[in-house]
Amino acid sequence: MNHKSPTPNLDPSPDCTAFEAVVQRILDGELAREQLGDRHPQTCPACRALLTATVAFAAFPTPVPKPSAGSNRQVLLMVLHDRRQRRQRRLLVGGSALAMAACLFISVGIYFTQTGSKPTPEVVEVVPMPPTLNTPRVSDQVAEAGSALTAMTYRATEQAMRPTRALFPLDPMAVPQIDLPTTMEPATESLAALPSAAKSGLEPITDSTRRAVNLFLRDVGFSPKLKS
Amino acid sequence: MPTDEELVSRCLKGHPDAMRELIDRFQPEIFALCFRLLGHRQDAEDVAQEVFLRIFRSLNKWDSSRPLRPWIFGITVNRCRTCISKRGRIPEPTEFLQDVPSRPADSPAEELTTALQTAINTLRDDYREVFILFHEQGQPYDEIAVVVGRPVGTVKTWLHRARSQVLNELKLHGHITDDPLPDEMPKLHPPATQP
Repeated sequence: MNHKSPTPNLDPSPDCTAFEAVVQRILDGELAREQLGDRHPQTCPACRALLTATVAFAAFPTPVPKPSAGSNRQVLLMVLHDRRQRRQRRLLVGGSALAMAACLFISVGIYFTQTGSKPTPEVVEVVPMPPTLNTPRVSDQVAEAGSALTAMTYRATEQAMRPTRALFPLDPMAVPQIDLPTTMEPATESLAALPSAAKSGLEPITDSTRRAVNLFLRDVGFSPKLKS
Repeated sequence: MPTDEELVSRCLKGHPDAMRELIDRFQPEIFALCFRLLGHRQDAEDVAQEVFLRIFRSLNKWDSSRPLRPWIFGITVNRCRTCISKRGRIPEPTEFLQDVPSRPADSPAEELTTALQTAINTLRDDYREVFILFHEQGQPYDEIAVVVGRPVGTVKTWLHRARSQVLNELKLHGHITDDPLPDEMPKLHPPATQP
């Protein structure tokens, strides 16, 4: 701390600034009191007052305040309490972080266990199965023939029905509804008209037969007398 | 008596007796510095407690290759600055007490001491810091520079300006007379660090 710098001029300069600088260096501890001359302060009232103030300042140091009794114990208790709290907080934070990490680890484990190892697909080596000799069974053959026949029939039916599909309405609801009588009566009129219908149906055949017989009789010279 | 490094090492291992010893070793200086910078006993005790909390929380960050005292004083000065800035924002509740006239001094020496303290309290915060660290705590320039975080040259300039201002205050208030110079000048070196 004591930086003793040699000062060739023991008596300060008459300049007040220089005198003050020497005072500062003495107060800094760089110069000894003996290096401060008395000549300039005796002629300069301001510097004399400065010197007197410096002496007073150095002679009456301010008393050092002391802390109240027992405050060191109070500080120690507070520091220990703070240390304990910080340790508990660190444990709490560390435990929470550990619990969260464990939960995360377990969740990830459960996820990959249930869904399979999707993120890291394993290369599954495909092993070719050895050829096996299948003995034909009659029931299988019959079932196969039956299904083939069904398919062929269905195909032929489809081909036959396809042109007629256009005749049927696409919408089955479009078919007009016919109100049918709830009770059916016997077709008496139809049965009554059956003989005349049969007679008229056979009439062309009887006419042709009659003409053929008449031609035969004329050729043989037989002229029967017809009853009128 | 263990060194600062040994004491810190034991504190880091959690020995309560080492912590007590560290507190006993530095509490008077920390409290005195807080009291000088804050000018209020209760504030000084509160801030001194905060300082010790900070010290023990960040003791593992202390560089053992550097002296411990400037590091501790640096924390103290920072906490005092924070307290002063908070005090500037919050109205002081005991402001009315400042209107009470102070007790008259019993002796010229006591009167001069009071005038000196008043003059110191009128200094700027950074001037007062270096003044108190040098003249009351006995810290050298380089350690004060570490504490306040400024170059040594700046610290010297601040200290010289602070001294000039204090001496001028003493002259202005008539505490200095043009008496004949004393034959023997008292010791002008910074006082030794109080235990």
